[in-house]
Amino acid sequence: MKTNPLAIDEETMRSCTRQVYGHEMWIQDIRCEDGEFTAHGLYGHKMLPDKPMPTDYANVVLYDDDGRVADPEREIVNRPRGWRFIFPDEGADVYTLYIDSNSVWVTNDEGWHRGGKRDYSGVTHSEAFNMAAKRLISRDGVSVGNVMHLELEIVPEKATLKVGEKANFTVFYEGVPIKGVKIIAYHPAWQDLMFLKTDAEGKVSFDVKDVGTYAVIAKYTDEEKCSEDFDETGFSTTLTIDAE
Amino acid sequence: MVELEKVILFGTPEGISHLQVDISPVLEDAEAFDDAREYMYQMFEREVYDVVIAVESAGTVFAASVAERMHRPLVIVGERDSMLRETVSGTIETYHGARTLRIPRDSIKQGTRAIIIGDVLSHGKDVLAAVNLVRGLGGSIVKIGIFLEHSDFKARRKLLKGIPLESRIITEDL
Repeated sequence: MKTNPLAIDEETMRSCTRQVYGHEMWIQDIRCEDGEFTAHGLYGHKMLPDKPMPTDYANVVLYDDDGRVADPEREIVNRPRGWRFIFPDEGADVYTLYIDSNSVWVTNDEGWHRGGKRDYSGVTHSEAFNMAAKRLISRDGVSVGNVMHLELEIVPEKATLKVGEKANFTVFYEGVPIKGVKIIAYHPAWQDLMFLKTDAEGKVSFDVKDVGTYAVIAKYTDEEKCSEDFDETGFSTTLTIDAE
Repeated sequence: MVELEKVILFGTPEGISHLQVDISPVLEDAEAFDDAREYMYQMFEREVYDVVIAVESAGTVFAASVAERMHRPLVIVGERDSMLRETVSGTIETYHGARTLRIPRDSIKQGTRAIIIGDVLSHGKDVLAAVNLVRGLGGSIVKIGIFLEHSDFKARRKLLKGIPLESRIITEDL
């Protein structure tokens, strides 16, 4: 079991709890058979899938070494309960797979609702959400490519983590390393989430002690990105990465 | 929670080449029906759509439940021809012969976002007809929800390929 290297502060708690239902999306179970990659896009919390993410969240985007390629096929599956993405293996050194969603939610006395302020009465909080997931599929397990698709990006130093080493990441917002972003790391063997913050160069790291798939979640709220319908924009990006 | 898989009847009667399924016991068991309706509701709880399309006949009971809980209009795609409303139709060939399915023309407007709910999916021709009728009137399909998918027919990989489709029960899992 891990311990939190930082006590959870008020702003971290605020940014976590105001993300819709506390859900994240993530990508796992990468397989390649008969020249075809498959991956599961899941939606839930602490890497436990809840239900398939809404259809308009499941925007799957794929890049190879040369740029964006055709969007993978997608379908809803029951095991695990979520989406499956399928795309051909054309031999790229690195594929970068994203799920990239945008939605607006409001809170009033009756709870959470999808929609903007103009759609509901008594709104106490309104926020646009960019909820995203990222996964690297690296031929050599090391190269991370050079794709930056999201506004809030997590870039690992290497495509595969090694037990006994440090996991090192840089977090970018609008293409620039950003200080003070809340990072949540999680491994299914852990009971607790690990809370971290990026340093002045946007970097964050933790010790890799467990084999398997880690989820590294960055959360950031930009209060300047607002409109008549919402007061701020929350970004949540989950990178899943394997350790061996 | 009721194990719905145990309430459904399925088997291969003598002289029949493929698996037969019968979900009527679910409708007759109040607790099982509650669970089934709840699951169908959960399929669409966070989706964004304007109208619920029911594919007759038993699809209507699930669709009506979702429409009521989500406060959305319910539109039925079926064989009955209203003499009082203009409809558009599509004909499909089935094992039992040709069927003409209809939808009221003014039930779907340009840009209407629809979900389609059905009870049992086999070849998928009726669901595809509903998809085409909605699209033909300018609407779009957000997602299809099916209570029981008969996977032998491979409808999701063939006729309905590319359309988001979620099923509560898939026969290959039974």
